[in-house]
Amino acid sequence: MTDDIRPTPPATGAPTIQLGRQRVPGVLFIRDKSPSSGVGYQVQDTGHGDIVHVSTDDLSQSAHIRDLLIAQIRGASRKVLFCSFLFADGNIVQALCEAAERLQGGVYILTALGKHLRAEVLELDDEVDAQTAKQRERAQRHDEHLRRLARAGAWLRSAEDCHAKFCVVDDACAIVTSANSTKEAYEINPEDGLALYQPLAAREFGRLFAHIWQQLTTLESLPGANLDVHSLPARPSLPWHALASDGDSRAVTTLRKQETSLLDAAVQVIDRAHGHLTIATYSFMGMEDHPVGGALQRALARGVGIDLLVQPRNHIEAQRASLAWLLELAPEQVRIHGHRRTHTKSIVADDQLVLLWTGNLDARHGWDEGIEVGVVVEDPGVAAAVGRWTRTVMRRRTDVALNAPSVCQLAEAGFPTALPGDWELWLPPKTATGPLMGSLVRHAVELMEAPGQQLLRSADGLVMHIKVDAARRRIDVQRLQQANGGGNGAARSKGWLANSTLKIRVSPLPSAQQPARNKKRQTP
Amino acid sequence: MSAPDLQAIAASLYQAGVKGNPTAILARELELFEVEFAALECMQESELRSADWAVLALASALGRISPLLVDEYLGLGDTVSEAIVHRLLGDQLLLQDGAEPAEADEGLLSFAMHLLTSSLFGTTSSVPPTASTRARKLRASRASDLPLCRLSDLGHMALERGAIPQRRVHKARLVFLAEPLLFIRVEDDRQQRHTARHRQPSLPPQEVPPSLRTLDSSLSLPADQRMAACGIGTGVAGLSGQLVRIVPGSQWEVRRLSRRVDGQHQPQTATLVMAAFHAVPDELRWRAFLRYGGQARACPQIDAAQLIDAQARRSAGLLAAVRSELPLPADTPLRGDGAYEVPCDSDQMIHMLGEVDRPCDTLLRARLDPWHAGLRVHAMPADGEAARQAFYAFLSRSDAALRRDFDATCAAVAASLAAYWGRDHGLPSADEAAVNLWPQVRLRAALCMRRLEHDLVSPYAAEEQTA
Repeated sequence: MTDDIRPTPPATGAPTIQLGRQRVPGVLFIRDKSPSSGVGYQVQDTGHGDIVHVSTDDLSQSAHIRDLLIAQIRGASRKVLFCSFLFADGNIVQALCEAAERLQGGVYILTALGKHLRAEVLELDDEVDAQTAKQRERAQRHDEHLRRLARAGAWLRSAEDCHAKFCVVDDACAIVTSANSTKEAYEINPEDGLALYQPLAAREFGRLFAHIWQQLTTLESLPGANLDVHSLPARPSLPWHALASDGDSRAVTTLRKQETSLLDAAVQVIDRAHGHLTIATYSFMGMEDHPVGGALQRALARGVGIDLLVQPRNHIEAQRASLAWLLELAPEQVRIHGHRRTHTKSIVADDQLVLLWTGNLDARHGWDEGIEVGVVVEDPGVAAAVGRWTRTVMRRRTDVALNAPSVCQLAEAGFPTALPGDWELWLPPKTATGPLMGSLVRHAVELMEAPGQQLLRSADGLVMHIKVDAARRRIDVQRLQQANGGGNGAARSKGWLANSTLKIRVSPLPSAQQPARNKKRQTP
Repeated sequence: MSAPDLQAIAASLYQAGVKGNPTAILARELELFEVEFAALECMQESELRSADWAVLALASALGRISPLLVDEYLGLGDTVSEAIVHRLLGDQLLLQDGAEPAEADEGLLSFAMHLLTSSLFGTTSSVPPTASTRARKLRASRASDLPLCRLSDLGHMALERGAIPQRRVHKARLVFLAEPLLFIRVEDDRQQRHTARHRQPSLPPQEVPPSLRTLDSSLSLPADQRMAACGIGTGVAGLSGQLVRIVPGSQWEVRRLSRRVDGQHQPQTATLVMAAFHAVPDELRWRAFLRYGGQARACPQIDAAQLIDAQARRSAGLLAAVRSELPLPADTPLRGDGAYEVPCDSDQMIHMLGEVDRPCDTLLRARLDPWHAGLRVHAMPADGEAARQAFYAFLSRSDAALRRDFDATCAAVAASLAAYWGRDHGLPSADEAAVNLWPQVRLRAALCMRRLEHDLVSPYAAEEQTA
């Protein structure tokens, strides 16, 4: 029997659900409709002769971080050690090439070579479509720059999980920064870094670089006319001696399982806060059960206020959940600020102690695996400078955080909506409507689109594979499933159902599958 | 014809077992000709059977022989004895008594005479010697006492050699160089069944090189003279038996040897090589080689005097006669090892280094029409700059070694040059070399590897140890 001649069950008595008031779990960001206009860029003076704070002036697109790096590279008299998994900035590449020619070598670069340049480490911030194009364009620029570097005499190596971004010049100056070597990072994104003109700290960063270079890299391209990426042979393993410190600054790192001083430092800085924490991170995920999350929890319990700057990536459920967790620990003490381009990463405790590092508050990466670096400075001038910079970006927020907003709120804020109006939702035969009704009544529903299929997903993980007949105002559910938290692969959100009414109906069995006695009754 | 690869020729001489490096190499690429003979006469010997040998020996001993005598002395029976005698008569190993030698087959006899050395037949007489024998009759026989026979010259020869010469006539295709006339190989028809359909027409008589027009006389020469004339001795690899001659009156056709490449016939060539070896001061000993299919073989039968001007056959004369890329004065000294010692400035030194990766003599290209020439040169730096140029040139060819150990490679190259030149020209240090080699992008890997220890290992060694 076809749909056209199938008898339509009587409309009376069909349960109806009004969608729109349901809440979306977690913290979502909506555009700040009245952003602060009077917050300008300011160079932050540390008052410390040998520690300089440097940041990208994203308002005027002045590349202070790049300028500082180039100045140091041009002043190098012996060697330049540069670590950035991405090389998509022509000016830095030019400076490194010139240094390699001038020093006749001595320019060592840790970057992502060949297969190590993975999409997930590119930290792209746009929607998926835009990401793909940007990813390709960046990868092309990266590849072209590596060729230039190799030809100029720079030696390239790659450790797959190295996400650190730092530069050491002549073992006399070390610059640790959140900025990848990209034009965007140097000119558009809020990024910052600290330059340490301290021989001991710089030498420790140099030692760390040398250990990664000698022990942890697996691909290389030697200087030469062409980029020639090849595998490195296995080398005898040498023990790593933890980074040493002396004075008010110290280098910290996550060096796979060999050293986790970065984690210790993050916990220590948070634990030492008495009044306030200024935190900046690109992402905030998985902190609920992480030692850093534990430290945050303790800080809140002590009454410490937290200002958190994060990139508002609403499509990352794990971040929404983690932010909600933090906010719900102490709603009055936590303020979350969204900036669409921020990439800066630091934790400042009471403007006295600061950790500036290259990773993120992401439990999956950079704390007990991978390679990240950071610098801890116990100096009010330096800590305040970093704190002021971060708070400046917070004041220039682009997005406001809402914890568990209703779908209607999101719609009013301009979030895309889908399937407005009245619809009949036809469930597969024999489907029990109770659990579905329970889910839809309480949870927001989002229309998702994947190649060749459309999905309705409720916030509790119920997923309906649907076929939409707009002319008949009918949505046929072909299959129901419970998402196991892993998302829906390539499915993309097309909008929340903010103003929709669904009449729930269950499709009758096809006549061939109906019980035999019914058929007999129909026989004259 | 393109200029031959003199280095490859020199290498092939070495592979051919030539001892010592030639002072000069002259090479000419020459066209190959295929000569198709309708009838080449060869001799092949078959072993003399025991019974035949016994009958011939008996004839030699008794002077005369008949079936009756064969049966009486050898006891072979009357039937067998008569059959053997008639067969040996048929094979012309026996002559019927009273018959003149002229009645025998002159062709086979002359063929055998031609083939074998004259000493063997110089004493051969048409009248067989009679000899006393201690042979005794075994029995009385009823066999016929006719025909009465005596040993022929051919029979005498067969008895001496224990073999019967047999004549073979071959149709064959042989490949030759024309000037000088030199046999190359026999074409194997079994492997070239397509050739009958694809061969080019034979050359008209006026285009046949003179040496190939008179092949009948060349091939008819005694083996030693024939070897000198065309490189064929007694036998020809690929033909059974020993070559005798072209069958008188038979024809031969000459074609240019070619192979089809992309539908076009391209002439096949071989390279005639004359190599001069240093003997005594200003004397050169010339040896000829043929290089074909990448392999060289000595051709001692070719006399350099026939091919090279008398003046050019001497060391100084050779220098005066050749036109080289780098003009060499006629008084350029010849070293004891047979190389010309040539002082070179920077530009010349680079030119003379060739493409090798260690210092050694090089072949200076020259012309001695119609020859392409290579003169072995021992290049000496005329000044310090030339020495440095050579040093950097060899370093730039040692990328792999430089990557392994830059400083040791610099030292090794300097030492090898000093040993080759026989003196130390004060070549640059490894540090200086590193600076000067940097513009060579190809060597930057080696240069960077050299400083890795200094940049990334030793600065942190102290911290690593004390940590």
